[in-house]
Amino acid sequence: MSKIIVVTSGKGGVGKTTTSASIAAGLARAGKKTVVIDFDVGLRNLDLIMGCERRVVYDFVNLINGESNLKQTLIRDKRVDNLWILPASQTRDKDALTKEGVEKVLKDLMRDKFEYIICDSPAGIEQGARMALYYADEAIVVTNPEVSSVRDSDRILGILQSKSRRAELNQSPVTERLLVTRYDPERVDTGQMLSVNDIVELLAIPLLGVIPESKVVLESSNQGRPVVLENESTAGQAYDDAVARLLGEKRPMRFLTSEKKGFFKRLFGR
Amino acid sequence: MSLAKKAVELKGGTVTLMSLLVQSIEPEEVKAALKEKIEQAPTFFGGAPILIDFSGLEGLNQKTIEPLIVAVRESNVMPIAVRGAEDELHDRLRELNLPPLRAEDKSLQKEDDKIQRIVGSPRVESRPIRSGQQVYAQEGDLIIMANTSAGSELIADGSIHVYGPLRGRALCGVTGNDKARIFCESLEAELVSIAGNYKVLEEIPAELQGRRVQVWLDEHKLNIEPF
Repeated sequence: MSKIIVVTSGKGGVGKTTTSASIAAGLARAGKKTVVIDFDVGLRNLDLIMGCERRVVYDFVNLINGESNLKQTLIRDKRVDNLWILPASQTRDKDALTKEGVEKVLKDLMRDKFEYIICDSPAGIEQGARMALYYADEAIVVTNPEVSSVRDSDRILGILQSKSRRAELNQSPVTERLLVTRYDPERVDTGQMLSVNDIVELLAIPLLGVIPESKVVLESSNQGRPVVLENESTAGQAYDDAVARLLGEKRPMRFLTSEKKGFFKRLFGR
Repeated sequence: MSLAKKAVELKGGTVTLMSLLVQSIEPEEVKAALKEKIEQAPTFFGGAPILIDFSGLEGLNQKTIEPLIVAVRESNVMPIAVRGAEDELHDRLRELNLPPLRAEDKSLQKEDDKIQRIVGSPRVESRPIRSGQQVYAQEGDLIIMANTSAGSELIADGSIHVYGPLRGRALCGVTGNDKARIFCESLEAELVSIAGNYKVLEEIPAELQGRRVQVWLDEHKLNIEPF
C-alpha cells in the first residue's frame, strides 16, 4: 500500500523542496521504493536540488495529459537506489494540474508499487498547493521559527483539515507532522527566534524533527545533493532522524541547544 | 393612473413611547407625583404622549379609574392609551377615549421560550480551529475543545466556550442576543464581540491576557473577568 505524503508550508522559502528531497532520499536509503513529485509547475526546482535537471525529458504535465508514460517520465536517482523523481513542467502553470489528472498519475504510481509518494508542494494556498495536498495521507508541515511562517503553517493545516480528499470524504484525517527548519538555538536563546516549544504550542501537532540552521544546506542544494546524504553535517543527521521517526523509530530530538564553540565544533562543525 | 397617490396607506412599525406606571389609587397623590416629575424637565414631559400602565395596581374598578385618568390628563401630559387594566374595564376606557392595550402579551412570551429551547443545540468542535477557518454555530452555542489560532473566526448566535487558548476572533450573540457570553481557558483573542459590542486585543488590559476569563455584556459595556 502506498503512502502519499505532502510536504507543505504555506509560506515560501522555508525549505519545502530541500525537505522533500531529503525525506525522499532518506526513505529510499532505508529501502523503501520512493518517488518525489514536484508540484511547483512553472517554477520547477526539485530537479535542481536532486541534481537531475539535465536528464529531464518529460514532466508531470506531460504525464497528466497522456503525452508520456511513467517509464519515460520518471527519473531514476543515480546515488540512491529505490528513488525516482517526477519533475514539474517549467513552461506551464498550475492550472494544468487537475484533480482527475493528479489522481490518474498517483494511481499509476501506486500500481507501480511505490511505497512512498512524496508531494513537494508549491508555496501559497492556491491551485498548486491544493492539488499537492488533496490526495495526501500524511502531511509534513515545514515551518521556520518565526511568526509569519507559523501563521501560514496554521493556515495550511486548516486547509488540510477541510479541503483534502480525506476531509471531503469524511475519512480519518490527514496525519499531520511538524518539521521545524533553519533552527538556530543561539538566536532562540537571545529571543530573536521562536523556540520549538512555542511553535508546537501554537500549532498543536506532533513534532517530526528540528533541522538546525547549517551552511551545508545551501552548499548541497547548489550541488544538487539531498542534505540527508551529508552524514557529517548536523542538518543531514537531523533529516536522517526525521526519516527514522517517519518510519516509526523513536529517536531523541537533537541540536536544540547552542553548542559551545571549541574543539568539536572545529572538527565536526560543517 | 396607477401612479396616483392613495388617500390612505396602512403601515406597520414600532414607535418609542413613554409609559407612566401608576402605582397609587389616589388621584391627588398621582397628580402631585407627576407634577414633581414634570417640573424636573418641563420641555421633555410638557404635552408628551404617554401610555398609562395600571399593571399591578390594586383597587382599580369602574369607579376609581376615571378620577385617575382625569388626574393624569390635568398634569400636562397626553395619555393616548392604557394597558394593564382588567378586561371588564375596557368599555369604560373606550368611553373615556382611551384605547385599552393588552397587558404584556404572555402567550407570545411563551412561544419565544419554546423557540429558545428548540434551537438550543450547540455545535461542538474537538479539533483545533486554524488561521483562516471560520466556524459558525447557528442558533446555538459554539463549543471548542481545542486550540484556536490567530486569524481564525468563531461565530455563534449563542455563547462561545473555548477549552483552550482563544487566539482568533470570537463573535457571539451575532443575531442580537446580548445575554450571550464568551468563556475561554486563556484569553489571547484578537477581538471579542457580544451582540456587536466589541473590543480588540489592544483594548484588553494586559493583566487579563492569557487568563481564564469570561466576557459578558452589561448595558452595552463589555466586561472581562477571570474566573
